[in-house]
Amino acid sequence: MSSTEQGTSSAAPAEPTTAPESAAAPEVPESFYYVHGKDKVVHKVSAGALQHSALIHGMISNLGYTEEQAKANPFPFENIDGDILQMVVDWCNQHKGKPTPPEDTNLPKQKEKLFDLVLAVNYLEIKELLTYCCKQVAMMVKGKSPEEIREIWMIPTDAEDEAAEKEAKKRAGKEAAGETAAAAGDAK
Amino acid sequence: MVSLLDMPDVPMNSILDHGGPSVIFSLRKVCKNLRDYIDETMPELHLDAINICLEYKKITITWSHYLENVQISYKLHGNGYKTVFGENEITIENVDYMEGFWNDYSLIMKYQKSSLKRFHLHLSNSTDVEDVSKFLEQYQNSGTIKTQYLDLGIYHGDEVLVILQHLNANCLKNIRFFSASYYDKNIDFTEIVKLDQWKNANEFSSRNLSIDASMKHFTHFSKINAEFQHIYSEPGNLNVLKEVCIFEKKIV
Repeated sequence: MSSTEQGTSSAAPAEPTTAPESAAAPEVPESFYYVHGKDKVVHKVSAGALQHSALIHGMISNLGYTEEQAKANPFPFENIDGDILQMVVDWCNQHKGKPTPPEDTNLPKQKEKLFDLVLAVNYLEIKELLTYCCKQVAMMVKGKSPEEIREIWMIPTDAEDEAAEKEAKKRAGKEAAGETAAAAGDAK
Repeated sequence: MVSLLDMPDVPMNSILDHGGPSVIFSLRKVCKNLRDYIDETMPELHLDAINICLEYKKITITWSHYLENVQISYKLHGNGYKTVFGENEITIENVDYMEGFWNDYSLIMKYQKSSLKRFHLHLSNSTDVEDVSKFLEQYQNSGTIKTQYLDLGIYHGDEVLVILQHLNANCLKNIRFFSASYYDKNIDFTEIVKLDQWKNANEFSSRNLSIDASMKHFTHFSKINAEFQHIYSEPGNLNVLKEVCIFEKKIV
């Protein structure tokens, strides 16, 4: 997996450990930023790796943080699970400054993880990774009958959907009637 | 719980884009929500070629796409029809096989916005006059097809005009007629040569057919590969051809 190091989990931004030293020191020191997901584990990521994310890249450009400010204000992504953010950070690190290959075979095979990854990557606007993920979802659908797709992706049939909708309406009607009766009782 | 219905628009469109036509049509059949979404976004199919082959009580459509080649057959089965798609077979009751084909074909052509490179229509293998008439009637009611190349396996020859009329005259560049049988096939070129589809095309070829028409109607092509039944003695017939070859250097 990736060389990204994690800080400890805490409500306040945790002190992240340093990123690994590269063999040859770059002429211009690379700037780093900090991100955390739902689990509050802070990831230190280079600006180069974060360039893959149009969202974070835009935030960095607008804020103009110094190293100290960046450390004190990690970007919070509360809508992204920690393990998913870790995957995203790993991918950005692995593909930092490199042309992206036509295929990526290291994506999660489980549909739940892949789905969460798609949502995260879509939110973070990482175009290439989103394409890989969507290709993988498309391959999971390809060759399957509509029944199989329904089963895999938990999609109700139109009849089931209608029945559930009717049931929900009925329940809402009953609840409303109950509330009215209770209100009338209180008034007496 | 993960549901494909919760997928935001950007990734959903990317999934449709990277899955190819078979994924689009499979998802469309899953539920109303997906059907409505696909019908609203109208993803482009980018098909390269469509091949339709009419046989006895059976129609087969094959499409070529950079991601897949798909073949679906619609066969008469009892009082309905059976579709065969790879290893999958589905039987539909109380619907005519041709109606089943046209429903799916209309859907394909609704999403295919770009021009096809090739459109193959083989009526030659059909032996049922009534079915060919029904097919042509439906064909006339369907939309114009954008294709650069028409490969037409003719049935009687009368259908050529109808087929050509429903092709986009600005796209069509190459026309090929052929016959699968050795019986005489008569193509009446009187009306065909007046069509823009004919006039705008660059190349013409025919196989197993003997053309009975004046050569002056063929001089606008840059390439011809055809057998002519007669060299008419009408004034300027061969001269027209000679002049085009010498002065315009068009014909290869």
